[in-house]
Amino acid sequence: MASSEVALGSAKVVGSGRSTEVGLVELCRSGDPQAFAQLVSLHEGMVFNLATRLLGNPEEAKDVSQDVFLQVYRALGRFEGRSSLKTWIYRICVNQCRNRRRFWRRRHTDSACPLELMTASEEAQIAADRNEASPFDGVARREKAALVHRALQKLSFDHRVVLLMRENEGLSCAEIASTLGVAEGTVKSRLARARDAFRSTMLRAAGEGA
Amino acid sequence: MNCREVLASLSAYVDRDLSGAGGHAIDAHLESCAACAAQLRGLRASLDCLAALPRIAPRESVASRVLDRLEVERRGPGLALLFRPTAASRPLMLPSLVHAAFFLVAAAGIGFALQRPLVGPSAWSRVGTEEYPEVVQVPRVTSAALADGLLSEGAEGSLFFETRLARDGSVATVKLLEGDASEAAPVIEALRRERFEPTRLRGQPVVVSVYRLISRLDVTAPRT
Repeated sequence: MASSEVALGSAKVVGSGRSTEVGLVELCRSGDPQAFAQLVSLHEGMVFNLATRLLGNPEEAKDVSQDVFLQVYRALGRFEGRSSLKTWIYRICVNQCRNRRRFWRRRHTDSACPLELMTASEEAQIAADRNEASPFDGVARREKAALVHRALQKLSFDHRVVLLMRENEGLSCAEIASTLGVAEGTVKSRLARARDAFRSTMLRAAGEGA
Repeated sequence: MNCREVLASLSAYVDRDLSGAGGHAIDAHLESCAACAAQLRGLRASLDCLAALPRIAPRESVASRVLDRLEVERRGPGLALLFRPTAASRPLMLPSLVHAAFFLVAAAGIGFALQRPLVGPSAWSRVGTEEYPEVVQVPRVTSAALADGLLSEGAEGSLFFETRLARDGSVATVKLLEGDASEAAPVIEALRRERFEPTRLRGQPVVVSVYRLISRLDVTAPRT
């Protein structure tokens, strides 16, 4: 968000990304519901996408998204602005997904856990992509996306987190470190192991599919 | 630099996170080692697939749901129910009000038609019974009024009469209820010649009784 204009019912915040973010947070703290709705609409896409990739289930991801923004609202008074709002929300999202996953693991065995399933909505989402040059491209992309999804679900949760944040969300190692509350070196080593595991899994999955 | 060291640094190499010397050493190794070069190609291809994953957007915004939950938490569920719009909180109330309004209008119309209130204080419904006779206006004398002379020259005691009037206002009977009958005879004759305006109750002519007390008293002022 290099430059943005956030139009609100009670206020209009115009400026660079950081100043807009600060203004939005201040409005939310003052209890402006429209400002909070704007904050949610700005970040719900990234939260939902990450939660769906981490949990593998869009219905669970929708519930988690609500919980994430409820926690954001309650904790906004404690947000000090040392990290960006985006990484702060990412941290809440990852923690919520981890808790949800633990909850499911306590209740179900791994094989019965619905979070590991490839979702029909994701298939539909991929099929809805209009950038495909031909129907064959669409089929190829769907198959590749399903392959990647299966490979991701075979990784550990921590590896999945760093890999998705780095490769899919485009966060830097410093931002991931800030999000997870660990040292940057830890992120890099964890990312190296996650990449290696993912590459191996992709190779195996491609071999099984061939 | 051997293959093991190169494979351990491939992640940093992909991120261009190595120093100049380290990067050059890996470049040199990859040119001479086909296995490590294949590992790098495989890594880049898999990461490209990951980066190309389509972003999944929610079908509907969660903002409204979050704000609703915050509203319920802020007010508490009981108050939230009270402060909801009337149509939302009690969807059957408005149709019921329409029916109730029709019922009230119909009841009021029937009441006006019968000229009797269907609803109201319970005492109203008791009017017209023996305990609470209905009140009618005192019928007015239209002819042959009682002569003042007859009263002044008549009996000295008290006479109490009941005059029963027919529906057309004529005198049906005159009855002496109390007093000397001989003294009352001329008065009774005079009362029988009287005629009254017909008495009506709710628009209908009715039979009524008129009671009269004729008394002659000597009144003296008290001495002071």
